[in-house]
Amino acid sequence: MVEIAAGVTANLYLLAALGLGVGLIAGFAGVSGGYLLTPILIVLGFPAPIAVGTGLALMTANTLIAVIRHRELGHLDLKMGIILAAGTMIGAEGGVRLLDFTKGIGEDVANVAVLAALLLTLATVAISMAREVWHRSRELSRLSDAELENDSGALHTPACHFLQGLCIFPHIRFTKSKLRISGWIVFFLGAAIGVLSGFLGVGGCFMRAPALIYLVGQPSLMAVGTNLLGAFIGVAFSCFRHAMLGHVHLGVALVMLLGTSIGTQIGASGTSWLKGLAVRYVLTASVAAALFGPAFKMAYFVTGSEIAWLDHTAKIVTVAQIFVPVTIIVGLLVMAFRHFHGKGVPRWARRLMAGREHAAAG
Amino acid sequence: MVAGIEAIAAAATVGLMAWYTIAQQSELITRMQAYDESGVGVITIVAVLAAGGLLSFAFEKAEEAAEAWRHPSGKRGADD
Repeated sequence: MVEIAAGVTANLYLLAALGLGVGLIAGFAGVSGGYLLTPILIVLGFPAPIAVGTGLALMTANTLIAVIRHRELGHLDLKMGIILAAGTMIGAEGGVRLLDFTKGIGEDVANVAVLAALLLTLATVAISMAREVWHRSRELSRLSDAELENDSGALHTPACHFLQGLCIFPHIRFTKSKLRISGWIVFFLGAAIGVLSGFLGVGGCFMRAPALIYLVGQPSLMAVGTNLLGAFIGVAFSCFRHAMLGHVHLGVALVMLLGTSIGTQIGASGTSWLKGLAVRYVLTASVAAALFGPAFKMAYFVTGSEIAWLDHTAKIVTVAQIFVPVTIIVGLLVMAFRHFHGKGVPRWARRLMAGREHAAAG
Repeated sequence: MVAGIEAIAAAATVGLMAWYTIAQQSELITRMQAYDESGVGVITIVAVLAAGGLLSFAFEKAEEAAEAWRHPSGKRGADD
């Protein structure tokens, strides 16, 4: 047990175990995990500023490990990641100022506005991804076994065709991602996500990854690494700012990091066994599960903060949401392990497995 | 063999860092108060990045050690 603040203690083993779960999701789906981690730390009794600062310190180290790992696996477009991060940081400043303006109107108004924006963003991302994943699954179900083995998993939406076709100087060739798109589009996409991220107080990975896949047209696995690079630059800066204010509990962050780093390694390595569609399944489930906590919290605020069970349910659901993506990832990795060792797996699972050559290269 | 030892040493360093910061928490807080805000920020971010870098190095070396253990180079050479 470690004392976090006056009268508040936490179990180090529990923290390391939660870190393992968050790391697994972060490494697999290419998110920093802040939208899962910070609410969990608050529910465990951490004061909100310490929870945010400690979470950011953990995410900084963890995204660094994940970026290095994805770079080794060839899942990182450095050029695109840097342009995206530049846009995100400028946008985030705008988002923070917008939040300050909303707080000036009233604290309750700000709480409801942030939760409503968060719910709307999560619902939009979850619904659009669920639709695409459903259609792609149906397409793959029509393929024969040989076609499944050779399927590259490439995804080309009308939006990415349109955006890649816009010839705005500088029209940059991103050789790692095998695409050409205007640098301004990538920059403004980063800035738009940055505004939302600064306003909502989240890292923005769960928005950036789908944007890279569906709007820029980046392959899903490449989007995972590129997204994490953008996240790393942003969270490292925020961690520095919070550390200056004394909001980082370094001991807790390091203990959780031991669990998180193992989870991240397993998750990131697991992506080389599976197709991009599997990553999108997990990201969709993770974002959809994250909808319920804020929904109960919003109901609590809207009803005048008087119905206590709404607040308790929000806290329970917030912690429970981590188990949905973790269960799916563990299930998929077990199936992949069986598949590549010549054991039988259901056809729906075979649709999600990478070609044997790709998996061996990973 | 060497890669395995390097991996264990790197991971153990992070473990020791965690143990030290928790065991000496109150002393560290007092010592940090002597620095200005930017100093605290720099020390924290350097510690966090060092821990991340060390763990990343540990995993790389652990994989190298596991690979060497699975396919010993001497044995493969003899088969060739």
